[in-house]
This record gives sequence, structure tokens and C-alpha cells, in this order.
Amino acid sequence: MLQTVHPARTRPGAGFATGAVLTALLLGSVVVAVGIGSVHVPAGDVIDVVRGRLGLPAEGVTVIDDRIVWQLRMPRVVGAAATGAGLAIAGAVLQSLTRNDLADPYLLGVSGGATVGAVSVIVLGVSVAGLVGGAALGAGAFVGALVALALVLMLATGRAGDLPPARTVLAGVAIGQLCAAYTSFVVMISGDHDSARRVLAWTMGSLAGVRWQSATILLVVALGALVGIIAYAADLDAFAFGDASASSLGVSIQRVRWLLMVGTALLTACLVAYTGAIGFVGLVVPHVVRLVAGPLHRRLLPLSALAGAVLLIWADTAARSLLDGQEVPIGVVTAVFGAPLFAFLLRRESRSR
Amino acid sequence: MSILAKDVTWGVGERAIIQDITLDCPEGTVTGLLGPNGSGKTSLLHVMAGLRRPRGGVVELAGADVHRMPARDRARRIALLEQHASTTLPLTARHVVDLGRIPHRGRWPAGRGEGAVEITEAMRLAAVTHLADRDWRTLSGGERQRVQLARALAQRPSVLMLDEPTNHLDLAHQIDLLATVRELGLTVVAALHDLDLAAAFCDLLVVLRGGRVVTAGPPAEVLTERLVRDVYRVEATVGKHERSGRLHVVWHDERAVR
Amino acid sequence: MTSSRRTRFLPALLALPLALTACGGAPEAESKEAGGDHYPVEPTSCGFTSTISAPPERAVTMNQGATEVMLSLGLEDSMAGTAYLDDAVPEKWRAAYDSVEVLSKEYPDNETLLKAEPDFVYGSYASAFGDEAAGPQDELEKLGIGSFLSLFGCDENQPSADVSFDSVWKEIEVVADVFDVEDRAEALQDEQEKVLEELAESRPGDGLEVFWYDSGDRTAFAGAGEGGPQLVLEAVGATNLFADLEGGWADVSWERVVAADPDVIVLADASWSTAEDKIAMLEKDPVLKDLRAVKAEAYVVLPFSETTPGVRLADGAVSLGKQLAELG
Repeated sequence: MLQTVHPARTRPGAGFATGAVLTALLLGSVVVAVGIGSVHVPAGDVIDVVRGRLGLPAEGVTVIDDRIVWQLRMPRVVGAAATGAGLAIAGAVLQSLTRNDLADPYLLGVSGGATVGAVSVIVLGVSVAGLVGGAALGAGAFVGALVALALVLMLATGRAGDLPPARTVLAGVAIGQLCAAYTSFVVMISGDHDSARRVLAWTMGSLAGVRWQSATILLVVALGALVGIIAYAADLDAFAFGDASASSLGVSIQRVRWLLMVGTALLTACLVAYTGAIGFVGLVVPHVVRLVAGPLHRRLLPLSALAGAVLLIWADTAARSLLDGQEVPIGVVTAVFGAPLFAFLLRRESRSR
Repeated sequence: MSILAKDVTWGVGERAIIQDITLDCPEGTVTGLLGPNGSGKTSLLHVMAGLRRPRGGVVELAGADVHRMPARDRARRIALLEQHASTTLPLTARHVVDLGRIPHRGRWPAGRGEGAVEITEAMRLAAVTHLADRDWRTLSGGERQRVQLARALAQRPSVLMLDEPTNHLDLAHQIDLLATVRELGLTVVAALHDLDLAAAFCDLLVVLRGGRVVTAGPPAEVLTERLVRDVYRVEATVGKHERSGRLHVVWHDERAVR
Repeated sequence: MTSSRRTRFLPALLALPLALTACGGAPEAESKEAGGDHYPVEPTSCGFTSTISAPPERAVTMNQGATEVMLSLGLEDSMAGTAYLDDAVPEKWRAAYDSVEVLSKEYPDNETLLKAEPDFVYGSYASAFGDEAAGPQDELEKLGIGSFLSLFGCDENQPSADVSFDSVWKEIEVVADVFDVEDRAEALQDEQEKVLEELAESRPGDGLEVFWYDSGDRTAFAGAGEGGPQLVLEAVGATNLFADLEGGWADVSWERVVAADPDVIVLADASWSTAEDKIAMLEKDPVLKDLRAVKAEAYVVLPFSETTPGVRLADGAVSLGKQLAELG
């Protein structure tokens, strides 16, 4: 019995409907998430804090409530939204460019390289541009990611200067392994009691260090990336049947592939520098969105961004409020929800073939 | 538009896969590329379609160098139908045909109606209108081929490159496809393996072997018993069919006697 | 930061029993050589029992905690090597520490250890008896080398001892027993008990809410309710902001820190996370810089080795008490 594609996917309005729902969900999530945390702040007080900050009249806002809701939680929520959006877009683009369903934003060595940078700062105390603490960590991670990216690109570039998808994936795996080896080596040989735990904490990712400055940067980066990448939506569609097909449709495949791969790697490196390598979002969100709204990129990209934002807002909310007074690394939360979801998607896909 | 290749050479690494190929396809003609597997037909089509840059020689589309044109301009004029196309994405047939409009659209997502007419027309010509909402991955080989043809037609090209377009098709559809593209008045370059079809629909035949042109000309001149023997290594008789007057090739082999 | 009175007092206290043994009668020395009725001693921890038939003369300590227990019992002459120092050994034991060879910066490997010809190996963490370090305790036993793993250091298979001063003193007793110097252990315990009693009376931390910041930048790794930090805070009568969390330390929520606006912040000082760096981070953070304790610079700094369960916890408590009093 041959299958018809779910008509919803092809209806012209489906994209807008889904987009509207997701946007509403995003706004709703921001509002609700900012009211949840390890310290109980009554809803009324939360609203008052926000009103006060927005310049509206508000009563009885204590300094502590303002600090907690506006200075700690709000930037985290904004940062989570931006990071989730960015990771989802990056995952979608890389999955299309490499025609590989398992591609994620860390394909080009970004996560491995960032960890190398982070480990060098945490364990070896390497200093970056005179920065200390969290800033040094972020800078180190960013630099590490760039170096790994450069290595992957060098390894992956074919004779003709192109980036064959299969080879790129393999190059990413190779450099990733190299980075993992370096990390383990440094931790085991130069590390102290605490190193392994701290490196692990970094790799699991966290939004706990995001304040307004970081959140703003994350937001600008994510929005910029979204706008920049949507311009290539049609080109990405053209890759559906491979390189020859894309080329025959007028896409400069080499230029587009280089541009988009480097672009998404830079986007991911920025995100990782602030929040560590949060997994599963970039891998799973594009698949879910494709299921609902189809694979065309002019829908896939913005909808993935929205879905990724919502997902990470809730993952972060869970991370900071599941255990009383304690922070659960956000990578654990995304894995716990992402892995079964991904398994479910795989089964669905295999049944529909 | 006419398309011609002059002394085109292309290869990978040290090896030359096609060498010194010259062929001239006047506007509106159907040129058949014949030759055994590995003779370079696909490579030649890709070079002529602008996908690969030749090492030597030039490809000209109505006098303009195909490889100096911006990619989008080229894609609006030349469309390529590949031998095998596959995807893992859940695209409908209509989505696939819609891809053909990409060279005509701007970078930013255009108004939703763009290309609707061209798409509908292309699907009608390729006889795939009834498949519009079906998932591409669930279609048969022949249906996929025709959807891809619709995609190529949606590009509204002047030149159509076809790589073994009749491979998965029923006889009726094979005939339909070649008749349709001929009627459209496009300049067509098609790699074919069926000699009878080639004889029936092509104005010109070019025979390749080992990456070089063996012979070229109208079917009546090119399709000889000697050619079939030399190039295809099959004993055959080439004759005119009494009823249709078309050339056809009948091969002989004792093992086929019942 | 340790009381200078004690610095002078302690060696004298420890020297006393040594002097007694030295000029003690031949009978005591004899009974030792003959194995006496004190031996064999069978120290047990984490489900493993070692058999010691004579006082070890070439003990090797694998972690700072173990090293410090030995030094606090004045056993440096029975030691053949030390390893894996986290931070500096306190002044009072500096000379004693320097008199023993340092085998390696972190764990020595098998060969290096055996080259030192140990007859007793003492470690604080289970990793000390891992394959790349000393090797499993039963293997050492087969080579005739006795061993002991800290009561607090058991791995997942065996529950560690509850963190309490009693457990600390129990461990010191067991080790002292191995070397037949129980009176020194008693003296040490008496001394620490006395000091803790004094603190319990003066309660310098009374009514103070404390945030114990160990390490970490994005999330704070803070002292929780069941470890060294909790003991030290309780000893001075202060309240730990995160006393309700399980374990010795945990990754904690900044929200709670901001909500509670603690009176004092205790900073553990370690080479991998200096107090300086933590203070810099607190003062730079847009939210945390407004905490009362940060604005008033109400900081207490303790070396990391005074915050883990061991013989120096009492020192940590004393130091904390002093610094709290100075903060006024």
C-alpha cells in the first residue's frame, strides 16, 4: 500500500500555522520559565519585577526578587532560547549539506576543539588574552573550536577544493577523536582530583553563567545566523538529490558549501564558548520539524529555530529547578529527553519506508 | 538554442575520460549519444551541462561559453536529467518538480505562487500530475524518472540533457517521453542505449567508445551492421521496417532460437 | 593561620612519648622486636583487612591526607616516601615533611613505588590503589606490604564512613595502632577535642549564614551538608546555606545564594581554583557583586587541605573561627 504524504505537510498554510503555534509557545515559555526556579518567587512578584523593568508601574518589588528574576533567570531564558535556536539551525543546515541524518552542529570538530580549549584553561591554566575565570574559559573554548575547524577543513578538502560530504564527516570524526585523546591525556596526566569532574561539567554544558551581557551576544549571534542562513534556503533545497543535481539547478555548490559549513561552525563555536557543548538539540529538532512541516528550508529553518528555542528554555528550566538548590547539567536533561525521542523518530522513519 | 562542444577533454587525475570530443547540435534537434558502458556518455553530458569544467576545449550555448556563464543563467537554459536520483528526504513529487524553479527565483523566499503555471504544465507533459502529493520515496523507478523529467521541464530550459532517460520506463512511457521532448522543440542531447528508439527519435547520432567519438551523423548513416559489430560487439542486421519505414536493428545469436 | 601556641606545643607533646620510648626499658623494645603482644595488628577499612606483624619502618603515603595523618603522629622516621600533595603542608610539619623523600608529584607508578621498598602503603582515595598507582591492596599484601585506605576513601562498592570528627579520630587511632603509638593518637584527639570545645563555647559563627564556595565559575561547586565544609561550619556554630544537600559538595543554584544574601563567603584555596580567582569572579559578575558579603569583602580563606575530612579539619575550624572573629 503506497503511502500518501500527510496532506498537512503540503498545504501552503501549514508552515504559517506551525510557525504561529511555535511563536506563541516560545513567548509563553519565556513568561512561564522566568517564574520557575530553585527559589520560590510568587507569580505576582515575578510579574511585578518584569513590569518594573519594562518601565510600567509596579509595586513592592524587592531588590532580591529583582536580582533573581531579572538578573539571573531572564538572561538564562533568553540565552537558552538563542542557543537552542542556533543549535537547531546549525543541525538542520549540516544535515542537508552532508545528506546525513546523524549530522549535528558539532560535526566539524567544534565540540572536540572547544573541549580542548576548555581543558587547556581548566587544567593547564593556559591564559587567553589576560582574561580570567569564565571569560578565559569561553575564549579558550572558542579558539580551540576554530583550530579544530581549520584542521577538519584541511583534512576534508578534496583535490578540487570542494568539501565532499562523506569525507567531511569522516574528517570531523577523526579530529573529534584526536581532541578527545588530548583531553583525556591532559586530564589524566596533568589533572588534579577535581579536573575530571570540572571538565565533564563543562562538556555537559550549562547556562548558569549567562548574564545579560552574554545573553545579548547570544541573541544577536543567533538572529544574525538565522537571517544569513535563510538567504540560502533555496540552495539548501537544491541539495536534496546530491551535488550534480544541485549544480544543474544553478547552485555554486563549492562556494555555498564552504560558506555554510564555515558559517554554521562559527555560529556553533560562539554558542559553545558561552554554554558548553549541549547535545541532542541540533540533532533531533530538525528531524521533528521535518516530520511536521516537511523538508523545505524556508520552513525548516525558522521553525527549527523556534522549536529549538522552546526546547532549550524548558531544558534549562528543568536543569535549574529539578533538584532543590542544585544544578543539573543541561546536557543530561537534553540527553534524557533527546535520546528516546530520537529512537522514536528512527522507528517511525524505518516503518514509513 | 544550439549547443556545441569543441575538442572537449575531461578527466580525473591522470586519466582522460573523454578526449577531443566535438559535436554540434543545432537548435531544436534531438541528438542521441550512443556507446557501450564506460564510453564517457555521462561525463560528456555533465561537461556540456556545465557541471564539470573541461580541461581542454569549450562548450558553447548559442555562441556563449557555458563555463563562463553565471551558474543561475546556465541553469535557466540547460536542464539535466540524471540516470539515478535518490534522496532520503520526505519530498512530495510536487516538491521535486518545484526544485526546477530554483534558478528562476530570487534568493529570498518569493511569493508562494511563483512558478505554479510552469510546474503544472511540466507535470502534465511528463504525465505525473496524479502523483503530485505522493512521497517521492514511494514511487516506482519509472515514476521517479518522469517526476525528475517534470522537474527538468519546470526549469523551462532551451537545452535538455538526458542521461539514459528511458532506463526504468515501460515501452509506452519510453516512447511518450522521447516524443514529448521532441515535440517541445527543445534542443535535446540524450544518452541512449536502445538503438531502435535512437533511430526513431534522433536527428543526429554520435557514437562514443573509450572516451572518443567514433562516428557521428544522421541515423541512416551511422547505424550500420559494421558499427554494431565494432562498437557493441553484436552481429546484427539493420533494416527498414515495412510498415513504419523506420530503421531498426535486429541482432542475431543462435542461442535465441527456439 | 594555625595557633602559634600549638605549633610550639605539639611537637613537645609528641616528643614526650618518643622520649619515653627511647629511654624506655629494653623490655618494651624487646617485646616489639619479638612481635610482642601488640602485634599482629589488622587494620580494616572499605572491606579490606591487612595484617601487620611488626611496626612498619618504610611507610609510603599516597595522598596529602594520609601524609598529614602520619606527620601528625610524628611518624616521619617510619616513612620512606610521600606522594600527591594538593597544597602546602602546614608549617608545624614542614621540617618533618622535608625529611621524607617525595616519590612523585602525583601517584607514583608501580615500579617507582616498589623501588622505595615500602612495607606499608597508606592512601586517602581509592584511586591510590588503582592499577596505575600502588595496585590493589591484596596484591600488595601478597608482596608482604601492608596497606590501609582511609575510612573516607572507599569506592562505590563499599560505603565510606560518615564524615564526622569521631571518624577522623577513629582513623588516626587505627593508623596509630599499626605503628603502636596509640598514646600519640589519644593526645592528638584530646587536643582537637579541647579546641573544638572552645569553639563550641565561643561560637564565633553564631547567627551567620555562610556560602562555602569551593570552585567552579558558571555553576558554583559549594560545600553541602555531609562533608568537611559542613563539619567545619558546625564547629564554629555557623549555618551552611546548602546544609540540606546531600554529599560533601554539590553544584548549586546561584538563585539561592542571591536570595539568602549570605553574611560570609568561605573560599577554599587550591592551586586549581585559587581564592583570588573566585573573588575576582564574584566581583566581576553583574549580579553577585551586589551581594552583601562581596561588597563588604566578608571573605574567609581556607587552604583546600583544611576542608577535606582528615586531621586538619580541626585546624580549619580554628582558622575559620579566627577569621570570623576578625571580620567582626
